[in-house]
Amino acid sequence: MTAVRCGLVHDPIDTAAVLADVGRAGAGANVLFLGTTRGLTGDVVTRGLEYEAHEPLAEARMRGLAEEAVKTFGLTACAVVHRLGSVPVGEASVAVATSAPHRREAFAGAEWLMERIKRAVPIWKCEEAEDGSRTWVHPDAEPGP
Amino acid sequence: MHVSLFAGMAEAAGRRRLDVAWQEGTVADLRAALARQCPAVVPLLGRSAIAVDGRYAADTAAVSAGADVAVIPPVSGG
Repeated sequence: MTAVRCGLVHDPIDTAAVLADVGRAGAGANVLFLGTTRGLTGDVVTRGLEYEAHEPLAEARMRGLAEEAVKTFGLTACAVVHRLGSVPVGEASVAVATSAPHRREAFAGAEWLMERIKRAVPIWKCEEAEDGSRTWVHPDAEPGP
Repeated sequence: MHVSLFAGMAEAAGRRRLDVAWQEGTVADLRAALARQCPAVVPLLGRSAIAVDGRYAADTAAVSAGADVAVIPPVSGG
């Protein structure tokens, strides 16, 4: 069984399946992180988010990062799924699961992976505000190859 | 040559693909050609990476006429 599974989906993420993907006999720690659409940021209401990606590049980049996480943190297994299209408030846009013999590595690997995914995978989010206006988000930081 | 646009780049250009007359040159030359053809993309183009045939390419890299090119603006997944 390979240590890494990555994918892009256009429907709700089966989060239980993502967590189950990293289960191994040698893993005593299993971490599942879900990034969900936030409906309220301070006083600002978000109706929903929409995501798009350069799909082949995004999948390759996600896989490369996941493999790096396995090597760097000594993970037993790692799974990453990002949803594209419209993601309603409260639903998951991204799921990262890691497993390791002990919890420290599993937590650290999942956090590192999420940081890298947000900075280096060609996926973009469009925020729909309360008044229906839509804004693509392009942070000031340069995109990292 | 077809150049794929995404997210705010596609919105600025009003389309998801630009057709650029192209013989040969570097990524930097291609950036200049895109800016001439579609000035609306200039602000974001300066902050974007260019992917050629599925890999990020430096400004000095050569781009052949048949290359598959995409503009990659700053990302915001997660």
